[in-house]
Amino acid sequence: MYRYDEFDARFVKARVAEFRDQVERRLTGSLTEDEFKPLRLMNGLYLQLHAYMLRVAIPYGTISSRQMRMLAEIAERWDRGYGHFTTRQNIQFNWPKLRDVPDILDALASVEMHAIQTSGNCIRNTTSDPLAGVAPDEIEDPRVTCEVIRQWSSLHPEFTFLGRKFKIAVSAAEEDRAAVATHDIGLYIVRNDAGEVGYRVLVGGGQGRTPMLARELRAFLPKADLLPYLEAALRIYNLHGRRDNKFKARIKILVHELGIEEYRRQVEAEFARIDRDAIAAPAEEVSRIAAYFAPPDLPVRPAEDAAFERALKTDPAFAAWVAQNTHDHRAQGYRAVTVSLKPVGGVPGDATAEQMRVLADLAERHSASELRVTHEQNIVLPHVALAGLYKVFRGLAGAGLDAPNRGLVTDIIACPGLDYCALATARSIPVAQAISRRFADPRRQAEIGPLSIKISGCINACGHHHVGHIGILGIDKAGVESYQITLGGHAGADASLGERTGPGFAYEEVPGVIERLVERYLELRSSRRETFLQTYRRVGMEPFREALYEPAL
Amino acid sequence: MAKAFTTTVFAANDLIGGDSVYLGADAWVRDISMAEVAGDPAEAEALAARAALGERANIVVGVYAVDVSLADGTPWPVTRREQIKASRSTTIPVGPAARLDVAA
Amino acid sequence: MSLLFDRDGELANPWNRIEGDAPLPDGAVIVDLERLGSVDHAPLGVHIPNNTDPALLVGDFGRIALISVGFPGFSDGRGFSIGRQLRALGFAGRLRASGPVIVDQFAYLLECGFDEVEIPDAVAERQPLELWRAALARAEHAYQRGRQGARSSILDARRARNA
Ligand code: SF4
Repeated sequence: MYRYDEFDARFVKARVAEFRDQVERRLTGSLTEDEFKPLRLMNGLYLQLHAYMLRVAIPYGTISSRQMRMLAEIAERWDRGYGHFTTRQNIQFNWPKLRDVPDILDALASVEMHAIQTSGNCIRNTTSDPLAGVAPDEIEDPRVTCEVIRQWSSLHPEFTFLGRKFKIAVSAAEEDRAAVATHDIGLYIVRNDAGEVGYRVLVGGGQGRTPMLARELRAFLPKADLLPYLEAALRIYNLHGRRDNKFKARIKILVHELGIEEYRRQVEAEFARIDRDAIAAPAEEVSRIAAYFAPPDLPVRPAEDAAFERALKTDPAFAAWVAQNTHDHRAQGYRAVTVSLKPVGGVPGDATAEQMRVLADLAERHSASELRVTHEQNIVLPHVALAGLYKVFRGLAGAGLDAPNRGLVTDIIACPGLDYCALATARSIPVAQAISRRFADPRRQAEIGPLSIKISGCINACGHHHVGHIGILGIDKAGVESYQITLGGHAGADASLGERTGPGFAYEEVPGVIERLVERYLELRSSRRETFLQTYRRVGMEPFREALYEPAL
Repeated sequence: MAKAFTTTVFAANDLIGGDSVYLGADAWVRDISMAEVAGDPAEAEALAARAALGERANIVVGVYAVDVSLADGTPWPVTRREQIKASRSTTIPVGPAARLDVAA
Repeated sequence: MSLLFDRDGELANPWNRIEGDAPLPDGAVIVDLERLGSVDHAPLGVHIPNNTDPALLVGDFGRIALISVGFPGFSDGRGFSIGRQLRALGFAGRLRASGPVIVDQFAYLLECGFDEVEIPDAVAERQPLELWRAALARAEHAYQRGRQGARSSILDARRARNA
């Protein structure tokens, strides 16, 4: 993975010093709260319901054992012993004190981490495929592009005070595991007819109160033009995106109002005028970065391992976990492991300091010291040898991290919601917990098959409910929580936005509602192989609506 | 049309700690039962003015009024959001958050 | 009324801002965009709000010595892109950022092509010149290549290291 050189290190250090100074200026009153707020946000610091919240960047979700240990230390030393992995592949600490934050940032800098631009109206952490560099179906490692973008977008002089936040995602695989179409700009790494590798550029996706899937801006962009083209696209947005209404300020609204053709025309005109050489990352710089993403030096392994096969036969829990939570690796004799942060009844995405250390240790011993954070709020150990899988499983089990539920009904995505978030209109975590308990039986989960439930505590949709097969949105009805259900959303290459079933439900009713939907699916499916999403796409909303509202309507 | 007046307390977050705090008789307090209650618009206005001073003195940030009921003799918010904030903890029954909130 | 400075410190302000159609005094004046077409004066400056298309000014570059770009609030970043565009279009005169910007934006302004900054007194009171200087001194490196090189470019530094 990428390592800082002296310039990266100095850059981050300078940023910490700057923030220390800004905190000082805030405490003495030289900065008002109005002035300080965007500055602290650009360093990942929010003020939430009960406390400050610090969001730490995990660029494109890749993190080392050493860094994971530092997160554990921060959780213990300055927080309450745990952290929350987010849908944007970052981690949040929920209880830091303003006075301590510069020290936390210093600790992060010591392991080449930061919180720069994890919030605020600027270019956020670029997200990517959690199986980058591992998946057999990818053209190249998308993280090289992500890192080029990370550096270019860090404290960009022109784009640090945009009308609204700006999110970029990159995928290089056939299967889109990065939800590219729901981003402000989405990049697919593709090959053109001539065999050259470049980008298919999408623009204007987003969730929030006006969910939209991104449209194609450019079918093929040569690699060298990436940064100048992004610069042109961002400039048009910065100049013409709406600033009169926070809810209409994302680029999706600009693209929608101008029309994709007009937006494209303006971008191309700007791109034609731009001094590309001054902006493009020099080729030698791209190769310097790419070298860090060379595949790790994994020992050559046989395709099969006798001890592994034996464990599969003797330990059914292990076999179930292997079947559900591991993924093909491009190297023979290896697997990528998804560590579920969704134990039955647990808080989606939460990990204690202790669990972080277990993960760090296992990665160090069995996964080339590397881990990934997924946008489903799970962790991936990308490079585990078949011969080591059982040890990894036992190690995870000892820390309560062995839930064999990747992609199943209990693998629920939930934003922090009203238990933490100042913007929330309803709770999401306890709702996820109640649903998870309802479907605790692993046999029942297996019977139901792939099903993604996503919960947001307000219209901002951090829980990505629009693209959940079942989406749950908590709203406020005169001081009381109410939950709207959407069906048929999906975040993959064939992305779709969910459709609302009808009137909302009370907090206590939600698990029962989900159960009725699942029961109806089981009745409707044409075979055990037809997934919830496929069934929904085949039969449509009506039968599900009946299952929910039949008695009343 | 102005909405009917509800008894009100003033909430904010402590600048340094970030904790939720309420305007009390002569200081910002953590316990909502110690908060000053405005019983009519004039009292609310007076409290709002005092609360703004706290903001200007860089003691607290984000002052706003919270509707409360006085059912048990002490103020308690009427909305779920403010109840959670006043409880100074999450409602999460299990998991690290729950365990540690009890300890903290 | 306001504080004017550039990277080297406070500047005397020879420029007179002319509101509306008020008569033009001798010496340097800054007029509104609407009036630009109808005045013949030197030295001439123009003030543009941050929703102006810089391309409109290209024909006048020869007779404009200064362009003042309005920043209605520090969090409204359109002016940064306008600065970049004016430079890309070939404006070589003096570029001024005018409005309640904050010290943490000084380096960005310079890199987007601005030469000088004019802030209202109310901002200057809380953010005196020393703070602006300190912020600039602290802003050491940038990943991008900026015009005036307020921060030095990491791309160039890496190239030099490898040479
Ligand atoms: S969706 Fe709403 S409640 Fe949930 S984290 Fe985002 S802003 Fe907060």
